[in-house]
Amino acid sequence: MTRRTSFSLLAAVGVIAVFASGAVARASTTRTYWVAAVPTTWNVVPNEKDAIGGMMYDPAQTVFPTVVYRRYSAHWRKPIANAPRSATDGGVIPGPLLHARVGDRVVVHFKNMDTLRHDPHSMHFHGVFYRPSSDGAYVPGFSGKDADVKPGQTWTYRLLAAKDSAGVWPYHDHSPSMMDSLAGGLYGELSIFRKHEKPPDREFVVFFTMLHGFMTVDGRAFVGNTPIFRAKVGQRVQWDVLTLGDDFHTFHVHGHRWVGPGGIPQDTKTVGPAESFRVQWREDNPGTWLYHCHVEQHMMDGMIGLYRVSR
Amino acid sequence: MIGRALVTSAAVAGALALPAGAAADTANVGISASMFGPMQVSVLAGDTVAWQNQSLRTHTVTSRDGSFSSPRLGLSGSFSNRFSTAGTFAYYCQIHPFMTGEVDVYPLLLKGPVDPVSRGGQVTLEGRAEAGTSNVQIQADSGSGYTDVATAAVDGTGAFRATMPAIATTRYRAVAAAGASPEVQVIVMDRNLTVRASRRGHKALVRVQVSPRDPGGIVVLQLYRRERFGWWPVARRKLDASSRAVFLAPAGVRARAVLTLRDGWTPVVTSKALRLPRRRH
Repeated sequence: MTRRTSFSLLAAVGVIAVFASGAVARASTTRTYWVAAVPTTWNVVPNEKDAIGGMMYDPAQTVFPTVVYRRYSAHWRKPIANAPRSATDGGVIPGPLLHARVGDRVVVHFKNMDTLRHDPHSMHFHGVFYRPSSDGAYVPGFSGKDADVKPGQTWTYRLLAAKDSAGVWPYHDHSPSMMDSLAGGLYGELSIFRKHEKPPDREFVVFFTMLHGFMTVDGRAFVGNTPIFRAKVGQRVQWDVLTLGDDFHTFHVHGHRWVGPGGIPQDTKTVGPAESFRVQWREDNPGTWLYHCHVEQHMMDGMIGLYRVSR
Repeated sequence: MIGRALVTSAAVAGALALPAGAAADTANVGISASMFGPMQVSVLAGDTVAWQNQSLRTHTVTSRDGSFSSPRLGLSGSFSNRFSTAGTFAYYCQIHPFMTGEVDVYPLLLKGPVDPVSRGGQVTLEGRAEAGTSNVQIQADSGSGYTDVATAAVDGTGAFRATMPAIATTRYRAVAAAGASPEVQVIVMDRNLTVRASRRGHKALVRVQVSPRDPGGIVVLQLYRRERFGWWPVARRKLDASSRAVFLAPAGVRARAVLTLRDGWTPVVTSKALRLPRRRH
């Protein structure tokens, strides 16, 4: 109920801002995103090898057609980058990195362009406030079109980054085709900063999932294929760590520690299905480092990458 | 893990009492923490599939149709099953039901070259037939349906072999009274890639020409990157009406171009690597 109240209050503030022209210093910002579910052909291991394990892979084992979230310019005119190259290495898994600040409204216009499987799709967001019509979760007899957007159709999800929304959150397909879609990479990240928070100099997205039989980071497996994250000494870096699926992962970065709950230093932190967290530090240790899931089998199956810090 | 557990064939003829004219093989499937690898295997009727758990988790190998089921397998625990009749056998792990796999059993198996072969060269197909087969027909389909192209005699161990000229990319299968083998696609590399590079300001201009012409074909520019542990795709272009594509690339690095299938990933022909010109100082 409190959330609902704050939502109407914010709406009222917005109205006052329009009509009282400047009487209210700061109205809420609306951030608009255009997203589509589109077919693509994805390669989990573009360099065709597990360089550390000394194992070669044939494209026949690593290339597959799938459906992903793709960011578009207004009215789905043309596809644009899902995230800055520094955040995800320029791929289309995960989907668009959606940013907001506490207090912002987030409007996501979604179009189902699945010409591969012709399945219904949806977007279901964690961490933010919304009405049931923006839930995107299929329940026969209860949910509406938001949860079952048919190929060629559109839906607009209206979200509010509430007071308790600061952090990183996953979003994903929750339509009737959810299980197939999640296995194929139909998910992404919402990154919400506090109202007056200074954004970090670098934001890295580490989305752990099992994809096409491999353990992947951002849809890629093994060093060189997974994102190469880069920073300079002195920069404040933020790692956004998320996972979906059936496994727990332990996020670990070599040569670095961060302060965890209760002020306790950590260099490894567990994340389970649909959980997420962010950690930050001021970079002070140049070199080429590894980041990986410390579940040994997951690391050997591909959940490992390079972090390069220059002076 | 996938890939590490590639199907390996271990001939066990002589070790088992088998009907004359057939040597049974064993296909190995690994079980990792969360998957069977490979998830699908094709075997000959009479062959055995052996599973081994390579993870710390306990798993089972249980068929959907109830025809076989392993006990609970701990680390290094193994289980095998002989498949005597052709058909599709789906299985899963009872403890982790999202782990699924499939054994496809055929009366005939056929193998062809994995890498593309050059036009004008030879294609050698090898296979195995189930007991009691004396001859198989090799059929080919280059786009207009299957036609007979060769007859191969089956030897005492159940093996057969056929060689034919490589003319164009073709699907092959082997056929006998008992049925057909799975299809084998042989990619015939009938195109050449010519790559030339010149300086363009601080960058290098890379021109790719494909002959014979292949307008609309997909060419990927790859750069050799130490941090990528090999060749890494940096740009993808469609060949224009003159079968050419142009890329801008960093100066001074090693580059090569790859003509791919329409998926933009699977290589058909790879050019020679060249060092892009360095920037002038």
